[in-house]
Amino acid sequence: METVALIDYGSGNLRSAAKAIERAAGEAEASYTVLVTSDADAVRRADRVVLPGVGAFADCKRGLSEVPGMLEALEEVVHRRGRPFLGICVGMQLMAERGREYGVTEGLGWIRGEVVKLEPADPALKIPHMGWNELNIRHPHPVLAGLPEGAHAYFVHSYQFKLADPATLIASADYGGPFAAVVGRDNLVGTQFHPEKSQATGLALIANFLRWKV
Amino acid sequence: MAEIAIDKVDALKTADLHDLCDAADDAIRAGGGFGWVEPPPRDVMERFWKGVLVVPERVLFVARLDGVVAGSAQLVKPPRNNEAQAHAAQLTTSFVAPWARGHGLARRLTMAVMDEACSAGFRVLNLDVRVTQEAAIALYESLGFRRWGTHPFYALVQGKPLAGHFYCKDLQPAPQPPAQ
Repeated sequence: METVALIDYGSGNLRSAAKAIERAAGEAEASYTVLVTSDADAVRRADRVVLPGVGAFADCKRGLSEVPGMLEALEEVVHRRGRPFLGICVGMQLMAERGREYGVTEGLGWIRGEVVKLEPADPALKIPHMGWNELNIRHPHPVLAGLPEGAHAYFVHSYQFKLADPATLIASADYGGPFAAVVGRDNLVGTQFHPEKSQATGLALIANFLRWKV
Repeated sequence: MAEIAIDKVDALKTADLHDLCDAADDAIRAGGGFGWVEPPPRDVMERFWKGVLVVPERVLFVARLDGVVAGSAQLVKPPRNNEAQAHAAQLTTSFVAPWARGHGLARRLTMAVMDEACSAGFRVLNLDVRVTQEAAIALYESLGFRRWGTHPFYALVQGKPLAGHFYCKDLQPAPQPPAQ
């Protein structure tokens, strides 16, 4: 039985994400133990890693840094062992080189680019961007397998990941201009939207992530 | 197919409390009303819900989507010294998180509160709603709530007054005489 580590570093409630992974595991017809953990060693041992994130980039980075050994464990499991990694919302943004929310904060630097304020061309569009939006698939990816062009996903965010390398853009969405909705390279993938709140689209994406052979 | 459930609760497990706070935060940010204009700090929000559970006149319902708390509503009974209005209860603090909309949770929550009010012997159920809550207004009217007035300064949102509609529903309408 494989283990999915859902990293608990004080960034909000993880229950809906844990339940969504458990439910998606059922749909993927695979046996997984979902471990909500702040234990770096448990993350090291995990077969797959999910990093959620709610709130500000700087707060999340600080929270992650304050968990003893977690940054080192992530580097090991993600880089040296190449285990599948899914970042959700700010958890996805943390893969950037830096974030520009409340000053400049260094990110994990796994995907080139930076996190900047969402500035829709239409000033009538409210920030945060909150609600359902269509995904425009830019590059086929195993985690999007079976999802139709225009599948709807649920977003809550005020900042976006500006990618330096267009090859790392897997899907975009539009809110007064295009922004990165799914990013990834190698064994890394991240969603700006909340798959755990995106109903069928989210469950399909998580099930695909659980099946993903890197 | 999403799994839907409505629960009447008198205690909240920690995980449910967190989900309820998350859902309320999202609903408030989306302009869902029920008092707050911006989400309060999490400890304030948690104390609010814990407080609801200890008020004997309040009955709390939560809506679950796939097991996760995604919305809520309350039945508020009149104080015991209000004999003249002892027949009338209030539906209040009703919301569904934006991510969970479109599954009929609000209708199921409202009907659960109506059933509870009927079971408790109330004759009338009152509610009020911001005029901007178009989906909620359509729902209440479809369930037979009758608008009896509009307050022009019902709420103050970002410094601007916002009107609100007031509704009532007779839970025990008199039987109609048989057609001649």
